[in-house]
Amino acid sequence: MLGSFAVGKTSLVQRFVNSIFSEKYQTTIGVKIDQKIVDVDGSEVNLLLWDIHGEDDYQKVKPAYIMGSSGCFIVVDGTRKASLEIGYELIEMAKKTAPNSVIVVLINKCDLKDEWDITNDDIAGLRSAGFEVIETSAKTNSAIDTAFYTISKLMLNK
Amino acid sequence: MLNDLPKDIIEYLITELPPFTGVLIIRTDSEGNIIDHHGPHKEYLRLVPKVGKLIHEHVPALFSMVPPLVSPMVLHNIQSNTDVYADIHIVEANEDEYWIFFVDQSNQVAGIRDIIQKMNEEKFREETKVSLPESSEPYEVFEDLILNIENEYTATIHSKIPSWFSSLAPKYYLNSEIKFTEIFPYLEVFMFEANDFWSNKKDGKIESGIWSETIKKGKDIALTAFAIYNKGKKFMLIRPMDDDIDKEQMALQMAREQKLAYEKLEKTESKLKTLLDYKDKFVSIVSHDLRSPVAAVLGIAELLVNDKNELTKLDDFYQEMIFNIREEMIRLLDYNDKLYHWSNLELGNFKVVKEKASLLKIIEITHRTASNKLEEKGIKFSTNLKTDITIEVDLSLFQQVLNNLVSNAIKFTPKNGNIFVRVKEDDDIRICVVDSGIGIPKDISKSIFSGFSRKSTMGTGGEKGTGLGLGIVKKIIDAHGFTINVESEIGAGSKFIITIPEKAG
Repeated sequence: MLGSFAVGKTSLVQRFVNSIFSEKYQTTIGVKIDQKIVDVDGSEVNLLLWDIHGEDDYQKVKPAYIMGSSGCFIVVDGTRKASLEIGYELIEMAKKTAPNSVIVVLINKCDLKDEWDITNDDIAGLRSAGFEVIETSAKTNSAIDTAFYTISKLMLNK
Repeated sequence: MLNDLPKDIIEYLITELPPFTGVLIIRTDSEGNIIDHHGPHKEYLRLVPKVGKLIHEHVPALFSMVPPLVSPMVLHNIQSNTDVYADIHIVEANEDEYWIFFVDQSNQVAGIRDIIQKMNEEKFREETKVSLPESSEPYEVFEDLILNIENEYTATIHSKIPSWFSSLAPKYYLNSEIKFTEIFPYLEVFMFEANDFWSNKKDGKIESGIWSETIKKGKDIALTAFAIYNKGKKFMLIRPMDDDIDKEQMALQMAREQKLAYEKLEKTESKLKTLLDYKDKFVSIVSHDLRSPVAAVLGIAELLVNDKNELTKLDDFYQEMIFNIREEMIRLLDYNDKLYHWSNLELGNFKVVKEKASLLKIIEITHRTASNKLEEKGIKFSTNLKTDITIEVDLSLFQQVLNNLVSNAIKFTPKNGNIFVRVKEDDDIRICVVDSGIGIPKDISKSIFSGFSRKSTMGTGGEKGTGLGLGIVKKIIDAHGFTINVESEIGAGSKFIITIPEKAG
């Protein structure tokens, strides 16, 4: 899970793994690793989820965290345009560090779509660059399973 | 001192030092003489750092370290006080100034020191065959888990089992073999760095990043690992970070929450600006479209008033009604024009085109424009300007400024009063419109140029106002790069002062 700070990476993992959501923002220090087995068209896939601290001036993501990954979620906060710019930087880092890793972009907080800064053009831009883009909400549990199912399937087909 | 922090140093503080308080900062000159200091010096140094004293008199390890050979230079785990170990960063700000940062490492050093002590005792026993008292206890360092690394995936547990590890992986004991990357997947990443470090075969340690593990439902523990090499042996020490992580998390949390709040504020401001623009556009369109019908009604009223034959046929009541219609339509048209002007100024739909203009002529035109109103109230208008001055202004806009100020002065000056336009030229040109009016209460004078005022703007002769006139004046003056101020005393009159700076005029 890669992305700027406060985009909802931890919330997405917690919703997916433990079916819980908290409104309170708690910044992640370092890395939290969770595990979940998912069923992808009859095959069991054991996902080791690395919830990595948010990228900003205070904390930089170490390339070593991405090196061995099979897939990366780039999480963007739909209400904060700046998080898309950071998302693009992390995409570049992931492509360089883990060229075989699949990349799926999650535009999170779709429960606040009225306040989104990310436009349809931005999403179209990501899609035309070849990325799978999914709009999610950890709060309303929208498209979370789809997101993890999609990335698992892409990783299996790689 | 903190206000003097150069940009490079601030950047270094943010990127290279841990984001929590407790760092001692000392600034020195190129010879190491202390200039000033900030932070908890008592924790790091035995004596209070004295300005002018050499830094190595406080920390002998820094003898001949200032200026450093390279900048930044970091000295690790230096004992700076009894039981206090610090990483000392020496950073050059410019040729004459050096910033020294002390970052507490006492906990880290204390943990490692015990292990090194044990290992050195073992080594001493092996090499000298001298029997030191054998310690039967395994290494017990805080709540650390110490692993003796055998290969990339396997290790044996070399310490007492800390309670947090029992909760995480209950089946392990002292000397158990452990596939550590299965229990701590994070260490898979750290092993790249650790293997590199161990392959150098130099005594020392490196530290990993931070990660968390869930030790029971809802309870996470933050951990950090040290890869240690000592006398040919490889160890991995895993340490819970309870206190430190709380401090770090709190500082980061605050910084990020502040950043989020700032982003939100910026977004709200931009939304508000858009709404204000909509409002101004709306007002501009409405006032523009209202002008024609209002002017048409006024035209009809003028026609009726001027047609004496028809007018005399009406009785007094209807004649008065027609006069009232004309007066109210004049006022409405004036108000509408000002609204239109105001909204366009707010929208920035105007351009100041400066040209050389005669100030005397501007004052004369103002006098002429106001002559009817001046006559009505018997107010005397005068100026001290005898010899003309050339000023560089947008003529039509600046004319409006003076017209508005004089019109405003007439409104608030009682009958038979005075209005004086005083011009003073030294380095700047000052144009003052002084009246002998009722004066402006202090609470109003603060917001007098803001445009829409909630306070009554009724004049001394019962004149009604829009409250927009002075707002328009301020906008035009600002656009010229001039300034305007007001001085007033209740009952003694008001003075509006326009200052045209030397270069602008």
